[in-house]
Amino acid sequence: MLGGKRPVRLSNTELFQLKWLLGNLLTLMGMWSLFQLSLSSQPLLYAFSIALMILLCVPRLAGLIMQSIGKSLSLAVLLIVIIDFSLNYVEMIEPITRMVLLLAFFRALQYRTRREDLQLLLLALFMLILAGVLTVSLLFAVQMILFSPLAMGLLFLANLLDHGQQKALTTDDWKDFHWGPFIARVTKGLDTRMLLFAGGLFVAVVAVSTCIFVMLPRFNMGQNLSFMQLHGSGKKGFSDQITFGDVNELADDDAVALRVEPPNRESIPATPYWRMITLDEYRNGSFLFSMSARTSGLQTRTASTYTARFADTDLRPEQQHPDQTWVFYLEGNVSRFLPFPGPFAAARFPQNTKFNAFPELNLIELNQVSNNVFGYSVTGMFADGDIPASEQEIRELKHAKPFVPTLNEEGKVARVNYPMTTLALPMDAEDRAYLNRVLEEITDGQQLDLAEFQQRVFAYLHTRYRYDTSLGDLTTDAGSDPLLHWMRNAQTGWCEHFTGAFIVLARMAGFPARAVTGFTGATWNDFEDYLLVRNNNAHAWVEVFDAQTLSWRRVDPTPQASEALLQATGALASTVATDTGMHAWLDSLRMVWYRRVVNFDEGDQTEMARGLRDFGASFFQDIKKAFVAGAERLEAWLHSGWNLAKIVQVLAVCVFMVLLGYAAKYFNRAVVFFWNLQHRNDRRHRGSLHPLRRKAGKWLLRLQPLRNQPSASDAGQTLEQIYARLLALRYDVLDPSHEAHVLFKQARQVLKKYKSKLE
Amino acid sequence: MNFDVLQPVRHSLETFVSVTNSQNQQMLHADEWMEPGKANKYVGPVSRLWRMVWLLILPPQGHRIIPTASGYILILVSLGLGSAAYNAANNILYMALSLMLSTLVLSGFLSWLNFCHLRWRLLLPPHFRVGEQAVIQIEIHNGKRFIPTYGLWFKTQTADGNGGERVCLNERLNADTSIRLNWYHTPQYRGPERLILSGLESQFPFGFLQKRVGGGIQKTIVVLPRRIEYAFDGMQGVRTNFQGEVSARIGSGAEIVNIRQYSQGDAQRLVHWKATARSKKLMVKQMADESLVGYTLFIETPASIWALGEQFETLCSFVASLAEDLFRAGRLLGVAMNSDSIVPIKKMHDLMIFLEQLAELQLVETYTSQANVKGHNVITFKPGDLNKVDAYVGGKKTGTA
Repeated sequence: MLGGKRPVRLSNTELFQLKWLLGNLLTLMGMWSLFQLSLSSQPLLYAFSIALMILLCVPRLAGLIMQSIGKSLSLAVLLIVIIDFSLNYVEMIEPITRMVLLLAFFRALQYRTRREDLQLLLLALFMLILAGVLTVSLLFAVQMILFSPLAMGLLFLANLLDHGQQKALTTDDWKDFHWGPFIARVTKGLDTRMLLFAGGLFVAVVAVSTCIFVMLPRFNMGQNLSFMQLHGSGKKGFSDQITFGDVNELADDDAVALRVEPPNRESIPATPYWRMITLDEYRNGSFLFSMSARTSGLQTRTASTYTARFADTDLRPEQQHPDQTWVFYLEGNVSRFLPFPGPFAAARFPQNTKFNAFPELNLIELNQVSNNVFGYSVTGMFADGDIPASEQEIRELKHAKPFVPTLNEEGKVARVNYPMTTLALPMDAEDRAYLNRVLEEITDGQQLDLAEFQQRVFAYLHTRYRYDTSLGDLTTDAGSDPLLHWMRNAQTGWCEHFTGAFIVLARMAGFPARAVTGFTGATWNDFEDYLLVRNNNAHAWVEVFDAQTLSWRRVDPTPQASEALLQATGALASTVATDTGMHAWLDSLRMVWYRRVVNFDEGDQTEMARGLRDFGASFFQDIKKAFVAGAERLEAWLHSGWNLAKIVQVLAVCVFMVLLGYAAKYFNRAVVFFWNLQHRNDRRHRGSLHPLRRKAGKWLLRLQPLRNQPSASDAGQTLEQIYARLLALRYDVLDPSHEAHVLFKQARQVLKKYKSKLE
Repeated sequence: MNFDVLQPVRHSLETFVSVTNSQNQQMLHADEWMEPGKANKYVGPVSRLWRMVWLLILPPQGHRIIPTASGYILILVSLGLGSAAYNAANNILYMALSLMLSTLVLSGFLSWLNFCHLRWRLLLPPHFRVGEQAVIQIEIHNGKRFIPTYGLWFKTQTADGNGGERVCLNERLNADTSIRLNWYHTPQYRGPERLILSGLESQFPFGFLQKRVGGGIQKTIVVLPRRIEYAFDGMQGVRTNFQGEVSARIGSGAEIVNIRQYSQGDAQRLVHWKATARSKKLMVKQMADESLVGYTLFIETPASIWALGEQFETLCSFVASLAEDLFRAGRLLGVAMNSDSIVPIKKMHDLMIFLEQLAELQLVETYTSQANVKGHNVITFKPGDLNKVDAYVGGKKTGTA
């Protein structure tokens, strides 16, 4: 009891009020969950939430509103739902959400009967589950934990009040309602013991729920709830066409884009690059994922696994680890393209997913941008390697020369097929001449190999240009190619500029080159051992075809020594920094959520079962070893000769055993003593709860059948006397000097003597 | 301390519990308590544990669990969630399903806990009468130490299916407390009637399952005839002057006014030994108060005269009402029914026995009139006009109902 006083009993009206308030809190919670969905009905959601909060402050308003417009409101809701579904039946989620919202708000306005309370509960639960399925966020777990006790409280009260005369509140019942006195009454009505008991029960519910969740058998039937998906929108910098600035825009966005769980820390490269898209075609200032590259070797599938060409041992890079698994969690609304740090053998998705695979390019593109976290795992990955070229690429690029795409009849650039797009220079003569001069300056007219060429171009670019997120005073020139314009006039630039400059120079020099966008760098989260990649890790770099190694080599021309860049992102640091602090810990909770809950599958179940089995086996092994070792030590001790120390040890053990025996014998008396001590001032507890009374009650129960037996007369006076004394001990005024233990001993003897008569 | 002298006890498992009302006392045995899963004999701790486990799998006889409407909804929602979860392999749906299933488990546990250590019994009023509301009490005791009990009810009815209603526990029953619930019953017919109290039912805690535990209680009661208005030689149910012969009842007077021969029912202390020795017949003293008139009721119900129906019920009601009023006035000497001998009515207990016999009175097919029930103070009854019943004393009509 709070305050140690007798708990106050709430009246029926107060219980109804509490029930109504609980129902409205549940509705608010459901609406809160819908805020994560970013639907078009957000203004409606805001309006309803505010209205509901006002209602909670002034509950009487609900009755007044329903009295005045209740009937017309129900008709209006019905009409709105019908019209909404008729107009928006294509995108099911939006009208369903609006319908549920309307119905829930309508119910929240009413002073509900039990049936209406149950309807409201179902609606709120639906909102919660809908938001949870669509967003897969950690907030769902928090909301469910908050939802559960409120829902149970509502059901409890609804059930309790169902048997009374009153079925629902009226407006008059709220006339004298004020929050302060109401909360005070409810607080007084709470019993501390019951609160603790309820808390314990809730913990038990969560524990049982966890056990059921873990033990529920998982079968992947390969179905998708296609209508239960929201379409997201990816970032421009990770699309299949980027212009200058698209990647740089993400420099200020520190939202998490990707979480990576490597097989071990040693497998993380010094500077990880997360490769998402290759942009092989350059046209009018944009790098594109050309149509011919897209269709070259394209595999469109709906499956849960994908085997890449690097599964073939002949094609596999030397440093590939077939058994190691990397797990990725790509946040929603980032990109359709999945990041990989290098060539891999196989990718696996939690369920059947529609995707496009580009084996030659080592890319996977999802059918649509996911609105929530998309998890996938990869095996046989070489995290820091070049991409081995395909046969077609080798055949066509090995001895190819740079060229200028021709114009077609309409004056547009004629289509170039991949991989020749990586050598195409769609520029006018003036720009080509400029590039030639620059190339001349870099190479001194020599024929360089790729490594030498790369170094010299780096030196040239880093000498002339500096990395900065701002272009300074550079103005755009509508007539000229933006990249060449930058090369001629700028002093600062972004990663796209450096990448573009390198590509055009490499192509001019005869080296096939393509742009690649993705992320670079990461931070290490020590709490859950994973890598965290943010949007501001977005980067663009180059892949150049190396005719010697017949692979696409990664080249990053963006200067790494730029102070501004390091201050801004730190993403180009050559080591992976460790993230600590509260943010890292909070993010690790999300990782636990994704790893242990969202992606929990039958494999995890098997692993858990195996772990339990191994733990059990090792535990019993340890116990057995300890027992055997102890027995051996005892045996050795017993066989050793007698000495003073041994005698003292034996005596100590004997004394200990005797004391233990006395303790066991007088345990009851000790309990009674401490009980009396504790309750010496509490008359109320000198009743039936007294241990002696309870024990007397148990003996009365045990002797009762004996008295009922016809042969009980043999027990004679002894049994009756003992029974009478037990009755007195059980119900009479408790005398502290009662020799109860003697009485119990006598009862035991009588029972033992005549026990056979009971059977 | 030695238990040489038995201390007075306040409660006992086996002592009689007395229930006192304004009219009578009824003694009940405390072991008439019903409990959920009551065992008929003592079972040891190990057996008790196995029994408890077994009861979780197979409920004992009389226990019933049926889903309510909200329970069916919960089942449907769980099935829907489960189907969606398995189809889509979505762990969010699995999580929601797990939570719903664990709520169901919690519901079962709390329901079991709610019924734990409960016992109940039926407390009957001393008598039932046709047309009069009787308050039957159902006493429930919550033997738990800390946890209260909520939301219980009993279903009550009679054997003929009438009077079915719910007697609900509308408030919290705290630990180690008792409460009495009132069941208002108005019998409609005289005679034996069986009251049926179903086992304890509840939808606690969430209303998903309706659970019934414990065996029902059935009690057979005897409903006394209805009390009716009647006319008896000017008396309207209150004391008036009576006419009749001198009765042989013990009076409060001290003066001997007569000595007469002994009649059945006379007290031993009235025997006049001297007169007895002289006359060689047993003689008793007749005290002054004995001059007050007493009556003997003689009820004959041959099928040749009476027929079952309203008039017969009027007869029973008339006789019962008259007997009660005469007894209260101290004028009822004895009663006789058909071929039974006269039974003296000296105490309330005798009257109650007679009334109970009246409650079960039926027509007699073959009947021989009682020869020794005669005299001026014997009230007999015959059918009257228009379904009325007439009372005769010494052949003269003195009352009607």
